Amino acid sequence: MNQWTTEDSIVAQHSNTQASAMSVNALGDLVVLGSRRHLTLIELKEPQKVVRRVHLTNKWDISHLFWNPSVAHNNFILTTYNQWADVWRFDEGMEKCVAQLKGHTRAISDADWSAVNPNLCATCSLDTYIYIWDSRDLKRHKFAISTVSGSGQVKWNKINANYLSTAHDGNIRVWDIRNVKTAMHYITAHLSKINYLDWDPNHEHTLASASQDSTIKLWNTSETPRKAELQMTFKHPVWKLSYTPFGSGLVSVELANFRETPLTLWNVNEPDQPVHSFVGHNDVILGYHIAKSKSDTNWKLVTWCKDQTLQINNLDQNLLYACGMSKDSIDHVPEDEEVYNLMHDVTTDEKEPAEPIHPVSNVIQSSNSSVESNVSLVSGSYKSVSHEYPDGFMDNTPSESYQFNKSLTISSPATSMHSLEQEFKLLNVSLPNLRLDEVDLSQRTCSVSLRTPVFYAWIKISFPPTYPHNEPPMFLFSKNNLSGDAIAKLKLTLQETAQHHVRNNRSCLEPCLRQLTTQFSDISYHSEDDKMSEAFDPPTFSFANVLRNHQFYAMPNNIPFPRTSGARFCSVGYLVIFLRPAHVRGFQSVNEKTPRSFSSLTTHRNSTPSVFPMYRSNSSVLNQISTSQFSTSPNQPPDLSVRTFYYKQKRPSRKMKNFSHLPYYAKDQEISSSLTNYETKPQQYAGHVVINDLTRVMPVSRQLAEQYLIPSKKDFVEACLHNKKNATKEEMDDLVELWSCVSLLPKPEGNRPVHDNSGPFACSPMGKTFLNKLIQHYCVQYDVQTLAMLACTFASSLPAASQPQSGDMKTVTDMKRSASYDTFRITERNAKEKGETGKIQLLYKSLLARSPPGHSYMENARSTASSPTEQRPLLLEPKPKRPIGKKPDYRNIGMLSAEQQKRFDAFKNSYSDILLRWKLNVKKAEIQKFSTNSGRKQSTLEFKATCQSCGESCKSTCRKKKNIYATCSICQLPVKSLLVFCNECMHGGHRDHMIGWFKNEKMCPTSCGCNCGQMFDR
Amino acid sequence: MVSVINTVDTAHGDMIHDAQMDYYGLHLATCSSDRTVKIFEVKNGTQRLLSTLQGHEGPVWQVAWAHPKYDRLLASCSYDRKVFIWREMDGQWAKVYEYTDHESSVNSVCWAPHELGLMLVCGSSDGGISVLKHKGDNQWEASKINNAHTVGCNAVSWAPAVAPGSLIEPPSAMQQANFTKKFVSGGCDNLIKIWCEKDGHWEEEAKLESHTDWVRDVAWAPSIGLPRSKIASCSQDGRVIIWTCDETTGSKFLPKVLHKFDDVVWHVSWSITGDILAVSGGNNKISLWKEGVNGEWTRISDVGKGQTTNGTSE
Repeated sequence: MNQWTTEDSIVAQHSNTQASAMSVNALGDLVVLGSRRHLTLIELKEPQKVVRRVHLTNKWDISHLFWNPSVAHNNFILTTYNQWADVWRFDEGMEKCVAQLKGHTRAISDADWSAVNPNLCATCSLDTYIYIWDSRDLKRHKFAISTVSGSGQVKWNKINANYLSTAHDGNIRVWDIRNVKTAMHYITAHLSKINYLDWDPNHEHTLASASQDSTIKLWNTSETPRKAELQMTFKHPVWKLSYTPFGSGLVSVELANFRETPLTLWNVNEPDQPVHSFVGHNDVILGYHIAKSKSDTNWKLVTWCKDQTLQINNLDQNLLYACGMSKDSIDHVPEDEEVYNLMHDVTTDEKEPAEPIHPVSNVIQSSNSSVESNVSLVSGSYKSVSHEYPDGFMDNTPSESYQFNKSLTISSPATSMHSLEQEFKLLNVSLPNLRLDEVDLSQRTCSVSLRTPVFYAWIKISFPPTYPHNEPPMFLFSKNNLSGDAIAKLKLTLQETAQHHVRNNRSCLEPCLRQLTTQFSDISYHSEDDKMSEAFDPPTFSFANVLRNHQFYAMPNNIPFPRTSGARFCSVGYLVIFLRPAHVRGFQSVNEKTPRSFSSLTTHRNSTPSVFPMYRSNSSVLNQISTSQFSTSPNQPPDLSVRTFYYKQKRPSRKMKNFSHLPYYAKDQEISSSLTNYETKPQQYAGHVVINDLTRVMPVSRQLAEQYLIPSKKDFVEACLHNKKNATKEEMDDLVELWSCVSLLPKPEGNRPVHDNSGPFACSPMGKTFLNKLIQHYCVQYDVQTLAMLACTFASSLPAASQPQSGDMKTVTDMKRSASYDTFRITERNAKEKGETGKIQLLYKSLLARSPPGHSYMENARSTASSPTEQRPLLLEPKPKRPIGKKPDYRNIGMLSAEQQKRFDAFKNSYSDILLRWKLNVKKAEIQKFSTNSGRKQSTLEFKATCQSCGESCKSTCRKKKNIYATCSICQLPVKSLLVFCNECMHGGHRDHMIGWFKNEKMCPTSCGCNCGQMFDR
Repeated sequence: MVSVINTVDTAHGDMIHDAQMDYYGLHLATCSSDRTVKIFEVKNGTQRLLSTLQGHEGPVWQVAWAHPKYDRLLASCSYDRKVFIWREMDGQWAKVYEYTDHESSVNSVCWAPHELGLMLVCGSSDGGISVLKHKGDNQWEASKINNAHTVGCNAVSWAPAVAPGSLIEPPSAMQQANFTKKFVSGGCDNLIKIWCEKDGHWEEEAKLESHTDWVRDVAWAPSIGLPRSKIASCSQDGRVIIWTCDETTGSKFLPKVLHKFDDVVWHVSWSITGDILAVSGGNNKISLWKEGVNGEWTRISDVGKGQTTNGTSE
């Protein structure tokens, strides 16, 4: 074993830096040291000299320091301190803190730049979140991975930009950032805490972990590893490890005694013996880096020790060979590096034009980007990517990822072979009922089998050599028990889908398979459901269809976390409350907030070991019918139920069995098989729904509503006193006072203009002003009941207008219509009706002609006899104003200002609605009588013009309507039973309601002025 | 002050996500993660399960009753991207319409005020909002606002039917008696948007910006005839905001933070008179807020764990 020799090392003392972290840039010529106060730049050529020192104002020590590993972005530095991270940009002579990455709530435990996609960096913390940031848009993290336990390490795969590994105590999780909801692999790696992770730069799926349990383990993550590929045992806990940039070397740092921190170089292919052990450090090694600049011939090991010394050691050629580096590659290193640089340039060229907020393009590098991967990328802060269609589905957004893929494909020599292989590799087949049985790359075929409880089918797919360039694959149905019809349909669908994709030179295997499973389930479903009717929907090609089955399980991040408690005001005073049952403690502790999105549930769920194995020990039913998935697919469909969030700690996992991941036809079986568990204690999940009565808090009272009388001129005082009595009964003191006041006010008809020119009573301080004050007061109280009562009590008994101007019959019809909230007319009678209104109008006109406008209300006594009618002024042409005193302006005579009529109507309507909800129909009609309906949609009130279903104002032209019913004038609901109406005014309604009304009343309930009572008496 | 009149054991197999009573307060509809909607008759402290509506393939997020003048109609929306409309005929509930044009979970449904006709608005996580209009004969016409909220729409609520023009204007005979159709929506872009129908198209009328995280619920207060509109909104950021638009002073909605809770707030619901607001959220507690005479809001009661407490403000 070789030993470190101090003579070939350069040692530079930087005792004043107090740096806690070190990093070397991608070009291998600059070192940056980070302390609480400074960032110190040192050139490796002259390690004694400080090139630049940037002053920091941090309160915290820099815990990590990372230079962006790509050459193109080598001016970016990421520093972390406590729970924050900064991104710095070091340009020629200028350094700038580009952004502070905020979001973590506890100290950042690790961070890493992606070597493949230099724009991405990841940070992790013990706060259980892993954030991925895009250096082009650092305002917010691009997406977040949420886990249950905090992570101590995060490392990007060095070959595939999509993979990321994190360490959680002794466990490792491997993520595909296209699907951050669930970890791709979950490795129970070490017995104690993992101190360090690193990806093999040469092998996409090799991951090394160093742990406190004094071992280093190497994992093959192409499938979920059960056992380490290699285990190296040390005497001391392993503190750090990293792959060498050359050969297959591995550098490890043990956590030994003070001043004894051996840095050991290994060749992973010969793990029995260390290649080299570097000793000679006087203190703990805080950081080390193997670097090589263009001008150098040798690789250098740069170490930073706690004693504030920077050591640079040239690595001997022999060491490189020992690490498995071939001589050739050593000779051609410069070229290699050029290639490397080039690669990065290509990458950046490809990416730079992309919008920084387009996550798909950044993330999916070389992909036949599957629907699912697109979907799963959604992050809260970004444009809804979940609905980004796969290439070509949406014409206006050509996917960048695809373009990138294409250029790759074309430039690569073994084009089609390569792309097919790639396609197979990237195929994400976690589809229901589907199994990928065989892949033969040389023959360019693959076979899949589909199986549901009823049907099965084997399909062989062969890819022509030019695929996917406008050449669809062939689908051959070998063994199956499907009907010929069904096969034809499936084939058609497949061909359509394939054609659609290859037309644009895009690969189509995955979309085809998805389409296939969807169709297949449909067939099974239909034949199961109604075997008698053969008909099932013809296979229509639609994207929604493709998505229907599988995307169902892909849970985008943008679906909000379900509400599990709530309160709704319903009807008048009811408050319907549902809460989580009291025994639910909830997953969350006091400090933890409820997550924002539903998808975080999956993360929570799957990350708990106690729940996870449930899938492994699946029931036989599940194994039989559900998909035996392609490889060990990590993409188990998420559990859809929110209860797991609240119950997981409380309940053993068995009880949480969820069936959502089963195909729906299988669900029933599954559920019935474990019915005992599922149904014996159903209430444990659902809390009770409690209906509270809040009318005591409300400004309206049902008791009063039942008892209230509207004072009319006949029994004005009596009614007021009656109301007062009831208010006393209900202990509404203010209302008691109100009604005694009101009883003292003059009756509505006493409100006429007085002929001695003293003006009406309304103009006195006790008149309008007083009433307005009252109304204002009750407005603030939201007492719509009192407001409506006041509005009715003082509804002016004035006639509508000066005079109708136009001779058009419509005017009068309008007026009639407006008067009635619930008018209905019967079409056949329309002609007669028109004739009548014509007559009425003539009469009306002649009356008006005889009387001065100001007094026209008196003539209209017929309609005001028992009820103050509406005073909707049909002021088509307002009369010139007259000076008050001479001829009082009729509009000011009323106690309520006419200007606010609409508002009073709104009170009445609002109160009517409340009465109706209380089913106080008669009371409601009484109130509604006073409503002038100004602004109410009239067409809804006319029988002939109203469709009960849509309420549209379709005149008689609407032919489709079948559900045409008359509307009851009392309760306002459609009359489906016995209908009673007045021949004169055509108002009417439910028989019972009308009889009830005319027991005490003579006039029409709509206040149209018709004396319907007589008719009914007859 | 608050009295429990009924406690309904729904026997849902999973957590409940919404519970609403019909217009008269006689029927209760609940929906749950067990993919069903249940309808109960609630009378005199007892309840009777009338029907269990099955058909959704995912958790059902919300239910909504239509005005009784359109018969007994119930709309439900679910994670399975579908909106169902159920109807009772002779005591039997049946699905009469299925709307499947959303590409992600449908989070909210709301019926329009009955004056506007039979109309339903749905907000979905695909960012879109659909307005379904009944055209008679169980034909529904959908108009979709695509990308109403980037990332996703979480809640929708109709404005009360108020005739155009101010309530304090003098009435005029020329007045067109058409109601303006308006609703408010909240989404994952932290925004609240007000939509107005103009010439058959839905246009964004206003954008209310104040929340710092996803808006989880919006509720337009019922109008009793006062010349102002109020919208309550709540968000993941824990804040409940009351937006008030006074017709006399202008048409802008001004925000006022009612309270900042420690956890997410999921629901806001107005009483029928628009003076009491019920707030509920992730902390499993319900609080009631009442607007006082001075315009200040005070917490009048906390309701929690199915128990009621008669306390006045904190």
